[in-house]
Amino acid sequence: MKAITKKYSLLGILIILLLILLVGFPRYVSAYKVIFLTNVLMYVIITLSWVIFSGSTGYISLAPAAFFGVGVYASAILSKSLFLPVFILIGGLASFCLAFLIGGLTLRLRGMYFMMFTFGLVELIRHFVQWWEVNITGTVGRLVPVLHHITIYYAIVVIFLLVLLTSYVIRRSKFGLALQSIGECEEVAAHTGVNVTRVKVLTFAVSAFFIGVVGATMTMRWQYIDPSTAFDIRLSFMPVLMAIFGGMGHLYGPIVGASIFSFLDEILATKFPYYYMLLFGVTMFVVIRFMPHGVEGVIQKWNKRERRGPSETP
Amino acid sequence: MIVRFLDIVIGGLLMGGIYALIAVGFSLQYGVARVLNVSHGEFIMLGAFATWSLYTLWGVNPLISLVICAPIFFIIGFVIHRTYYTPLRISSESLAVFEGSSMLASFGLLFVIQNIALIVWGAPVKGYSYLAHPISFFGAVFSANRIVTLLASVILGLIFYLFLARTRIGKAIRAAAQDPDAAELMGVRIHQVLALCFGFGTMMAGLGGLLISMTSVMITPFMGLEYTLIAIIVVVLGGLGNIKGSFIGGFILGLVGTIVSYIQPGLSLVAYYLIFLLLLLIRPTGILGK
Amino acid sequence: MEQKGEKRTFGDTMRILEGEGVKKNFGGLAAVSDVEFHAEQGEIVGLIGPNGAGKTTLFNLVSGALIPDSGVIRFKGKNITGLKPHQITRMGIARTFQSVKVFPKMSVLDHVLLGYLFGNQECTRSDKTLKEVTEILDFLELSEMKEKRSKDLTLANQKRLEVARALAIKPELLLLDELMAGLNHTEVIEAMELVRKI
Repeated sequence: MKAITKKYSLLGILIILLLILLVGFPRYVSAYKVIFLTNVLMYVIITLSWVIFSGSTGYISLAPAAFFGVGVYASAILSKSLFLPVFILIGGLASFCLAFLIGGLTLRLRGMYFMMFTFGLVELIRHFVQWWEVNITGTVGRLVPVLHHITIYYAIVVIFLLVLLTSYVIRRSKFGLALQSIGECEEVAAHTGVNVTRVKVLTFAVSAFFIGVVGATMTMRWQYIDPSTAFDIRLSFMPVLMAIFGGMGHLYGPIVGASIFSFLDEILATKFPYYYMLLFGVTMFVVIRFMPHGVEGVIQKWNKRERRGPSETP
Repeated sequence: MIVRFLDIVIGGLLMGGIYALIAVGFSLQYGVARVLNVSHGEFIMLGAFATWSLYTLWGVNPLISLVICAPIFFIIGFVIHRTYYTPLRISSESLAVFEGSSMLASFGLLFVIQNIALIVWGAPVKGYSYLAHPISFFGAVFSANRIVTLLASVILGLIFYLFLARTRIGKAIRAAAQDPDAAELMGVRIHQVLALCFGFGTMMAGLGGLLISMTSVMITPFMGLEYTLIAIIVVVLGGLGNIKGSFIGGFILGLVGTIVSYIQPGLSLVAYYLIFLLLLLIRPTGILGK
Repeated sequence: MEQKGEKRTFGDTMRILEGEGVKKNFGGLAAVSDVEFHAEQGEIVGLIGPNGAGKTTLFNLVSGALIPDSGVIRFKGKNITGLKPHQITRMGIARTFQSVKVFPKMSVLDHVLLGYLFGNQECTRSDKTLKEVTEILDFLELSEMKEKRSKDLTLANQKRLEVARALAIKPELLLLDELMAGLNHTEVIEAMELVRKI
């Protein structure tokens, strides 16, 4: 009993320290570092949101770019007339509804097909919005009023904490148990009384909500948006990679994965602009071949070796 | 009126021929080797660049480049599969896991190839002109190079079809497509066959790129993704794993594209994706699938 | 099957399960063809037939995993044809599977908890929950293993786990699909005793 309380209080102290760090951060560092951390947190949020759905059910969704883009456009259209919390909430809700609709239609598709569908969806929306903006509204590319980078930083921190909290609550709850059962054997889950479709669609929608919110928020940094940047398919692949890199079994996996990955991403992009994609691709190759459970997998292997003790050979 | 009609139909077939070829290549990689190779388009891009280099730097006739590029691309694909995807498949816990991870690995490949192309050829758009003189067909005008590409696609398709149907290796491929484990038990060296299929896939991509480059299209390191997506759509249209279906599906999609372009230019890609999504929802086994 | 529910008698014993004219085809093959069946409350009914006769298909039709091409299935007088599996489960029918289907990475305790929370009428955690779940685990002699992941259990214990999960649903009708498949002689005897205990 003592060991457990000790572990929890240590964790609690760490969390409080982290919070203080996050909140106090902007006062003591340069604007560049604040913006850098904002970007990293953006990826962490998207990855965490993605894991909420895809990590537990096993359905690989490539839709994040669609939900992000919906948030972006909600922001672009509404930011002139509404306050930040209001329009980012609307962005999130719009994504929620889209996901609800899509989920209802497609979550009965088998894994591969679902993945391809979400992929096609992003491209469909992108091309359609492009065509619409060119031919109907004549506004390809929109200018967005910019908010101060510190405001955006705090907004992102709040969203991050909310996603974290949501992930934690879901994992510990009855709902999370149902999700796990769906991921491991959908048929049996249904026969145990779990309303599989409803759980999947709801989770998908919740995941989309956060991605939409973060998309709406980040727009306020970019000044200019168009369909290609709003619905950039790379935003769909990044969370998948980051989650695989970090591992999805525990809460820390996606956070670690996304942080390291986006950190590397930033550094590589600035230092090796000509070789950056090459390095990225090679990293992917290596990770997928040799680290199938990501960083978590590596850590778990270390733990197992430690428990066995130095006298035993693994 | 007839001219318009011919314009659309033949234009569609010309486009369709190339779609058919790249779709068959993709189908081999996914239907048999179970690799959703999202870097397929990058090999198409490489084929286009290779042809460009051969033509503009050394004056090699693109049709001769066909013979040069085919074995090179085949070997590249074969080697990549043998050295990377084969061990990945062996170490994957299940086929589903392998399908997922091989797809993601293909992403890595996509980035690598695109970056290499950027370094070697640079970002500015390239192009060349070959056999560009117009040929008239009952009033509808097409450039000779596009008709040549159609012929080439059909001939290559036929050759491959005969290969699949008549040779021993072709039989092995067909067996592996149906049931790899059973095929292995029957004495088929399954890993060789899968690598062969992957190699054929990249070969067709390279040749597809070659033919595309002949039609005076803009050659850039970023041209690949669009074709990958089209290949995916055609393969779903024709039925996953159905090679004949992919071939026919290519022509169908080409026709659809030209028809939509005629009605409302700029919406052809939207139409492709709409069809794709509807197919997945209503008939994921494809129009021609079993 | 006498379960934790009440035993009702309306003059004659009530038919808890009945099916009429049930048909199911797969392509050209008629797996289940114009079948009529019924079970009374409190009965133990055995469904016997050679492999491929369609027994599992019938179970699938009753549990909602498949929808019959024609015919009607009634549970406690209510028509359940075409309902989804989770709805049928919540109405009081639980089943096990021929090829043992458990959640590999889930602990034994969580399995039963899942059944308890989702399968029966009371769907919320309460003080009763832990007590009743422990009872079920004891009944099936799985208590010492409650933290273990189901993939680490022996086949016989996995089958017990399936039954535990099914019982957590508090069913009025329990469908056991080839419970004895793959068990050795001792295990078969244990299983038969278990069925009688239930």
